[in-house]
Amino acid sequence: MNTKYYKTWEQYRAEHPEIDEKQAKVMAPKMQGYEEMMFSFIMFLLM
Amino acid sequence: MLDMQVLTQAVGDLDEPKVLGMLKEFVAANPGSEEAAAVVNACQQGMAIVGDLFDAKEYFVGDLIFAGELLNAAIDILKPVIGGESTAKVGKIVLGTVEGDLHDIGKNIFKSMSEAAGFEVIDLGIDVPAGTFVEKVKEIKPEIVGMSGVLTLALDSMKKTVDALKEAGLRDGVKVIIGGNPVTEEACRAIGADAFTTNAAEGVKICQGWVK
Amino acid sequence: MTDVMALARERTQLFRDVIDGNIPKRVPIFVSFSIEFAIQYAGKNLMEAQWDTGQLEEIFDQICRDFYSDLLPVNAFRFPSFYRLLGARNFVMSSNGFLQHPEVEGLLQEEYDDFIASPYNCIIEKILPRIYTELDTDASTKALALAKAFKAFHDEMGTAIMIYGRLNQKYGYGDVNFFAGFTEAPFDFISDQLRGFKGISTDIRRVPDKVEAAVEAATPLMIKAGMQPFPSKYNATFIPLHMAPFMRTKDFERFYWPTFKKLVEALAEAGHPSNLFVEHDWMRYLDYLYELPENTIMRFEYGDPKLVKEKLGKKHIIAGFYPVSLLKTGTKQQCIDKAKELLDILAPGGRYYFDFDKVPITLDSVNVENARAVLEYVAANANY
Repeated sequence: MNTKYYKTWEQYRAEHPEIDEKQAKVMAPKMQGYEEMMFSFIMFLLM
Repeated sequence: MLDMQVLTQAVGDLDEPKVLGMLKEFVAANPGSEEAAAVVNACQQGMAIVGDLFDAKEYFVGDLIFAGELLNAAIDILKPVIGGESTAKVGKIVLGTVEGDLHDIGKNIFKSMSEAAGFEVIDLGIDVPAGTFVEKVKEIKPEIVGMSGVLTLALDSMKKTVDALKEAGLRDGVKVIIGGNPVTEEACRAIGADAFTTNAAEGVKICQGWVK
Repeated sequence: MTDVMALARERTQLFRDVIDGNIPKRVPIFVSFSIEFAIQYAGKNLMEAQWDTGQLEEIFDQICRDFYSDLLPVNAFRFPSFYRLLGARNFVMSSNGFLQHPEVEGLLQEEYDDFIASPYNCIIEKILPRIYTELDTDASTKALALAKAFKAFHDEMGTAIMIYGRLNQKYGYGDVNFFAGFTEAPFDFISDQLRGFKGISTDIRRVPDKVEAAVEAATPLMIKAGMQPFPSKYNATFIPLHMAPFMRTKDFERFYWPTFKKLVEALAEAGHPSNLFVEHDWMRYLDYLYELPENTIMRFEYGDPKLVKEKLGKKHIIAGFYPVSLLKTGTKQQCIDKAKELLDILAPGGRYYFDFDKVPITLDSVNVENARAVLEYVAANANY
């Protein structure tokens, strides 16, 4: 999406190599979920 | 000397670069005010073409709005060569969204379109109390008062405004048109307006009929 | 199985049949009423009930009780709390309790290039602060304002969804959702709150290439916004259409249609059908609408139902056309006759559900007796 205001989990993960596989598994859906919620909210504000 | 027919057609085509190009060239040649008046007239004839194409469903509301913008840009270029009176407006409209209502999209469309038709529009904005309409009508002495609203509650405010104009002895000096989603013939009668419309283009036509 | 569960199953089946291209037992009915209508109908205070959203259950319950529909007939999603917390200019509650929508210009004409380069950056950095005054503050105040509004938004939506769930259960409404997602046509998105009606009408003449590029740039965002959590052929993303009827066909072809089609296709490919509110009169564009993926739901406001049935009726799902204005001005018989007339045209062959041409916004925009009579008539008589 060419923006610093939205990151996929993969992008986030690449920036944080300290996160190991086990953590990543539980973190991913939550982190991504809140990212999506914020995106939806921002878009809703303009519709 | 510029070709009036070509200018009229370019306005009708909403060909802005062509219209503005011609006018700039015209102004650069330092024309007299009589010539300038003829050019303004040619532009207005172009607007009539726009109106016809709208009726023929070749143009739509968006095009009418742009036509208003184009005419503004044209007049801006012509200002230095036209005397004050030759910009003569066809009439004045005091316009606003009535008290309690904040909607302005329809009002703005009507404003653009009536300006394109040659009216001077005094836009009072949204949520305008009856008293403000009365003051402005006193001050400006328009031929027409336009009231807009989307909510059914706006009808009450329209009635209040007309009553206030009556009280101030101003009602007989103006025509009143109401516009917006909730207006109907029945509402128009109850409010004491002269005309109603839910269609901005039709509203402009009604206003044109009044100042003929 | 309880009666209510059996009823819900039956109603779900009506809509599934419509979507699956089968003839249902009866023409299904899905009408909705605005939150303002519901509050007024319940005799409550508009402002209070929209702020104190806990009141809405009792309020919506009265609509469910009194107006026949096969799906939940209320669906509110704009609440004053989060708009107020953000200092919104685009949705403002007036003193009489109506949440109104003044025209705003979130994007200036000279900012098109920024938008095209990165729409989302431009939205966050320029557009939101211009429309939401509390986001036009220092970084810390802005962060706190957004946090409050985000919390308020999810609280209000959570409350509403709980209410909808309980009403669905209580009244046995069908289990399909035509508002499972929400997005806009890219051109409408750029027009409505970014450039405004006048702005966009001027831009397509003065800076057409930029408009085209901006609409393209917005498309991935609009697709993403319209994705639902789970794909289902029975749940649709709602897309209210706006600007097309006010444009020349030539301009529509260049600026509106290509990205709108891309949007609906991308959603369909991901398993999300679209539910279009075809606002105003789209009769010029029926051949375009035909091109959309099969089973797109199209609720029409104005136009010729016969022509629509003939051109679109075998491929898409049609609804609407019933004039709410008649419910205000007509006699009960006239209102029922109109329903009959529309059923005769639109029901044959299925792929149709009954709806009004628009949502009744305020209580006085219809004669309640007429509305009830029409819905009951359809429910009792529109059998196949």
